[in-house]
Order: sequence, then C-alpha cells, then structure tokens
Amino acid sequence: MENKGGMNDEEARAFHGYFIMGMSAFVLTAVGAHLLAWSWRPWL
Amino acid sequence: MHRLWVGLDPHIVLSVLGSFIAGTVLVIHLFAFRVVDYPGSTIAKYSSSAAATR
Repeated sequence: MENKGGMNDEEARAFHGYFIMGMSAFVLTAVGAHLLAWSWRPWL
Repeated sequence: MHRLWVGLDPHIVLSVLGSFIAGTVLVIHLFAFRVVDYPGSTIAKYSSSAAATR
C-alpha cells in the first residue's frame, strides 16, 4: 500500500525527537511564565 | 513511542497540534486573567484620584 505523505518508521523516530524537543521548550517557557506571574501576584 | 506517528502526515500532525495548543492556551488565559483580576486591578489602581497628578 503506497504510503502517501505518511511517515515511515525512521521518519517517525526523527519527528518524535523534534516533537519532544518542542514540547520541552513549551513546558519550560510555561514554567518560567508561571514563576514570573506568581512573583507578580500569587493567585492561591 | 515514536510508532505513534508512523503513517501520519507531519504537516497535518503539526497543524492540528499547534492549533489545539494555541486554542487551549487562549482559553486558559481567560480564566487566569480573571483569577489575578487583570486588568481590573490595574485600572482601579491608576484611575483613582490619588493617581491623578494634574
């Protein structure tokens, strides 16, 4: 079955690496933003 | 874990994922702004007579 546009196993492995890297950067940025917001106005 | 993506089109995966995260973050910020009472508290702070300098 011809895999139109879909990733094969090797491409999926590379994609997953970039996906984890991107999500980690997103989480780190969110943690930083929450620390700044907390220092400005603790909400609990 | 990477087998999750096998057979999927990366362009579609990234656009769906990006849109979902952006939309969710937007909604979460609505609650967050209400919790910290922003910009209400800032408006109150600077529209009081004490803040008036002229």
